[in-house]
Amino acid sequence: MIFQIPFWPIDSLSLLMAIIIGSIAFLVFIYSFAHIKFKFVYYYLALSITVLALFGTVFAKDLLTFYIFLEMMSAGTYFLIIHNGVETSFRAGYKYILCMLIGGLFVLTSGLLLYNYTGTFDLSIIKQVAPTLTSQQIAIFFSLFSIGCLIKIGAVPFHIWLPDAHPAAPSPISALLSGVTIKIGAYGIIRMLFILGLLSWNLSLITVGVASMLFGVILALLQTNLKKLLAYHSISQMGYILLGIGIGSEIGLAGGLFHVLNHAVFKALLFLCIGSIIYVTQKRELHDLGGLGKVMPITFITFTVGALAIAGIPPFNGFASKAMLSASVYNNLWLKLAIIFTAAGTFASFLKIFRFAFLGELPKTLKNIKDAPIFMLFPTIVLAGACLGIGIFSAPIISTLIAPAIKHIIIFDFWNMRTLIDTLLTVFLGTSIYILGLKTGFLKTEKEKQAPSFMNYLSLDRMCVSAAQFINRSFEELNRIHTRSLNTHLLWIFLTLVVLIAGLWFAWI
Amino acid sequence: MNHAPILIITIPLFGAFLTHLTKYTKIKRGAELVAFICLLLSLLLLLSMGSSILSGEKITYNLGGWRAPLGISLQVDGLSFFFAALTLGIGLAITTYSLGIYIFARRYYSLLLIALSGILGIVLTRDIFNLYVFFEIVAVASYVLISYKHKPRTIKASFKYLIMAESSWVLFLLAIAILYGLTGTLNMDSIAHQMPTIYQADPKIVIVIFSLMLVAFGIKCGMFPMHTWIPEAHSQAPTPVSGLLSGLILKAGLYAMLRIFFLFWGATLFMLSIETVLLYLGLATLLLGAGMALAQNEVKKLLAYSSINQIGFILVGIGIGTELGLTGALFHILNHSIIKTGLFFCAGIIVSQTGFWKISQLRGVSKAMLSMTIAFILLSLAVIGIPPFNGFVSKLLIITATIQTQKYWVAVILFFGILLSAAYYFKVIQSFFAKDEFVTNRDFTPRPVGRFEHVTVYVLVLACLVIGLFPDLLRNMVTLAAKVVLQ
Repeated sequence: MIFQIPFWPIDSLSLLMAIIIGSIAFLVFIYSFAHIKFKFVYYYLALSITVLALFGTVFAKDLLTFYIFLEMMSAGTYFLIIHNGVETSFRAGYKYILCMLIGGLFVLTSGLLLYNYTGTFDLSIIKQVAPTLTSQQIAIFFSLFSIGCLIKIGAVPFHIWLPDAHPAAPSPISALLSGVTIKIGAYGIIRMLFILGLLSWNLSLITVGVASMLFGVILALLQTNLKKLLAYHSISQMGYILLGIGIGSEIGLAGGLFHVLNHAVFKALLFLCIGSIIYVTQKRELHDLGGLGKVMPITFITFTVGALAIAGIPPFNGFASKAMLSASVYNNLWLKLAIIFTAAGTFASFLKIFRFAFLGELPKTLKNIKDAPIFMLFPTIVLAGACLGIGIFSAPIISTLIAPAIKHIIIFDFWNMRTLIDTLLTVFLGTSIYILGLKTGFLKTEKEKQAPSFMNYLSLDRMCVSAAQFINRSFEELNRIHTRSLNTHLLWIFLTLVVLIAGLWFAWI
Repeated sequence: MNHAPILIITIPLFGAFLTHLTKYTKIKRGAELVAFICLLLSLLLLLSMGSSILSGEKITYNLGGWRAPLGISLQVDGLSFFFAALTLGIGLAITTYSLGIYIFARRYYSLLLIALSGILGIVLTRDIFNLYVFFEIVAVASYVLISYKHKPRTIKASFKYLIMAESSWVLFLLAIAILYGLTGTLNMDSIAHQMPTIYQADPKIVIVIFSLMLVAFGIKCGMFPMHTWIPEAHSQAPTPVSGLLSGLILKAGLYAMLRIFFLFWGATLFMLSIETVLLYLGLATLLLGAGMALAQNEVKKLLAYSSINQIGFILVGIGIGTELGLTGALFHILNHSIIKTGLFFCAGIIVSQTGFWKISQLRGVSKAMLSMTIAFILLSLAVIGIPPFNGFVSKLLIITATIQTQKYWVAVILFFGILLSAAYYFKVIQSFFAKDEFVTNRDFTPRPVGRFEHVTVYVLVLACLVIGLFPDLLRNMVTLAAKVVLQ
């Protein structure tokens, strides 16, 4: 049994992840100086442990170490999510930590199975002996491991914790969660695909990816809570990454990995901007806001950059990775359609935010607000600059960061007819969805009290919560019927003795 | 002859009587001093044998010079050393914690020393009747300790414990009588030597002996369905006594199981081996403890059921029967003693300071008692098994053993147990952090947390962290104990 904590000689994949973690975490720290108002020691201690554990996961040289840091990260993030100390954050945190533990146990089980097959946790040795494993062993191991990672990612159908955890957490933590923490799952899957040499068309990953893309974007369109809307977009953007990984070609993998970087940048930017809005206005529902563009100009500009990036509009970074992803599926019409539709839906939902948060009439209660403090603006400006910079210099960034990580040289032409048509189609479709949605009342700005409908019973979230509540209730029932009478307890002892003797007696005969 | 083994037991026993004599001296807090010195002396004596024990030697001591089949002999081997060190370590922690609580007078320290010397006797003796006598000593001392506060509910809990524990000793005595009638000796090694012949002559009598002993020790260690005394005794006892019960007295039952079952029936004699019985009972214990803990609304009761849950883990580790599983089980015994003692101390401080014992009443307590909340969180992360704390290491060993023996369904149930334990501990943690205004009981004048309590709790937390980060420090001791069991 190994108990020490070994690390890689850092390779390019770990380096890329470490750069993402380090830079986002640094900006999150700066943002927190202004944003966090109470429980400082608690907050910064938990944040430091989480960031440390995040670095640990990407530097881990063996599966056990990976698991250890994964669990540390989950525990640290739990305490960050419940930082607000209100009932909703406790609920979200409770769900989060239980889901994370389930995911972690999947990873642990897969690691122990692999230890059984190979006698080691060390990934470099596993890489050498991987060809000697039977395909059944690899299939069992990889499916357990990737289910664990998909739970950490929050991909459909394991997303139930994500839309609760992001809005409940303080805004810088939402940025960290969405920007970095959920990427660790994607890192795990990519790393394991390389180790096992499974880089090929993987239908199950593609299915999960496309389901996440479509499901995430459709639910995002329906949301009225700003942070919840972004949370659903995280699901859909992680779907892109999984799609790229699932396709498995060099260009798909490079696109997926590039999207890991880009999504970290623009989603952190968007969450920090929304955090500024919530910090200034104390409101997070769309219908309470409006006209913020005039009073919060810098946040407005940085948010616009982030929104254009996530919708895949050139010259921002989202465009580059989405162009690569859509190039990698060019021969498959359905995947292509899914990508276009998701991009259009994303565009439409951000049009909604623009219309109802930044344009329009400023509510009377918000007349006296000013833009966020400098500590909160600085990280958003840096990230907006990064969105533009990565978008413009995508070719050199791919050749220096992404290509070494997947050990292939990537040459990709970003500016051609095809990408241009894709962009125009996205904008056109997105605008039509937006206009149609407003006309038909599909896009709402105010949360309506819904009567429990049939669709509600189909909701996965509801099923899981009901299952958990059922377990809880049955144990409460057990507690109620568990007798406190001493006589009965003595009877139990006597019965146990009789059953044991009788059982062993007959088992022996 | 090396007199260390008998001195380890008798020094605390003499100390127990000395504490009463301190009344006639002018030494301030003499009883505490005597208790402390006695335990330290015992620990030093034990550690002086450490190097030879860890190299695999066994030190045997014949009482009065009478040799084994006739006289009583004490033996220190890897397993005894492990448990004796654990007893003395936790015993010292309990004594230190008690120093700050002024209601504990000479009688308390005297009883504590008697209980500890009894546990030391249990783990060192090789005579099966002597084992019974030491168990009775521990039990009698702990009846009085549980009802130390003389309130109706503590006396009720203590009475329940008394009835159940005594019924277990009746069964154990019956088993000893049958064994003595069959073999004519009370020495464990001689009985083990004759066991195959007994088995061949009449296998059914062996089944009866085994069942009697299993039930007897099962009551002691809180095995399902004999667990019923645990929640009440643990939650009603004074805080350090809850630590003693959960940290050491439950473990004494487990020790007896490990020692006697594996010595007598080490080679698989039954068709249905004893390991399988322990495995199934362990799984039932685990699920029941976890589920009942989830439904509790009192902190100390929750901790008591959590003890049952962890005992289930240990029993599963034993029930797997491989060396790795046993190592994990023994390691978990050690870790659980440290963690649960610490948790009871924390909960005890929180409960006694605020005067509230329900979880719903303790909402928002983190504002009032930050350092105890932090300690409680760290210890509960350790008991759930979140790295880098010690609970993780031992649970990992047990789960690895289940997967290595390809008992995947056992692993799934263990995972379910871990999830349930996370569910109930995080329930407590989140209520500690709630934003509600925390109102202390007005009739109650809060007592500041004493430095002894603080130090003890944080030493235990530190021990959890150090063992979790460097489990190799204890690897020799634990693997040696596991090897001794399997010999």
